[in-house]
Amino acid sequence: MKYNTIILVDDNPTTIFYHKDVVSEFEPNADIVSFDNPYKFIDEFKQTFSKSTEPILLLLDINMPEIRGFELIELLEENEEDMSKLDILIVTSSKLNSDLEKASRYPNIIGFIEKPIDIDKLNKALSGLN
Amino acid sequence: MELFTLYNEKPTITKSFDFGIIHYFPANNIFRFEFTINTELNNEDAFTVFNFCNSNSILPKYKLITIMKTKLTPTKDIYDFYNAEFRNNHILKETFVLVSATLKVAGNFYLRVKKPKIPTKIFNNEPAAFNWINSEFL
Repeated sequence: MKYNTIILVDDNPTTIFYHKDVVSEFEPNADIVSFDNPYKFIDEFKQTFSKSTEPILLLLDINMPEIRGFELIELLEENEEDMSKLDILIVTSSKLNSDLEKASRYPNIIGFIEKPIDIDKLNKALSGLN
Repeated sequence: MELFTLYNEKPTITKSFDFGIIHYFPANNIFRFEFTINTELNNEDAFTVFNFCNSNSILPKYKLITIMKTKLTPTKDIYDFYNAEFRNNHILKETFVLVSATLKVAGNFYLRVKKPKIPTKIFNNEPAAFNWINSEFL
């Protein structure tokens, strides 16, 4: 599947800088939007992304100091945001079983990807090979 | 749980493969396939199951329950095989019973990204899968 919009949420600006490069090489025609503040993403999601008619890919850092990736998803759910177009890849530094177990409870999560991401990992994750 | 109790009929056909076992419940128009070993989910095995169902089904279209409780590793093309038109032409409804977290995430991927063209649902237990596949609800 091609995504016209790819969103990166990660509290580390250096990681965002690097990942943005990889993602733009992976999907040169996509709009790539990034947030180093997860709450800004939530606001923007309410205002813009939830109204999208096209699928959106979110690369979501799982371990952020202000809010965990899973908590961010729960906030969107609690606010009854329309997440029907949102496919989420969890970005993590290590694949813990407890995280995997938790991820399986969220239907929007389609895969895991380990930091630092590269094109091979993106290809693999977006082929359903976790 | 005994299969008879859940399906309310005895399977008329049971066939074992080296990777799993298949039962046919004609009154329910259901094939039930269960993986019995840790293996990869590949097109070859999926085709073997599909071919067996087609050859043994009384009706041109049937329902399929696939039980995945062992450790299964999806291969690259398996999602496209499951969603292939030639397969969809024979399957009315399909459900997967998934236990492991890895497979549940893979199931999310299949439903959201590959968007199966026949009614497809994922459950974590067989009675729920049976109830859904046997209902009129899509």
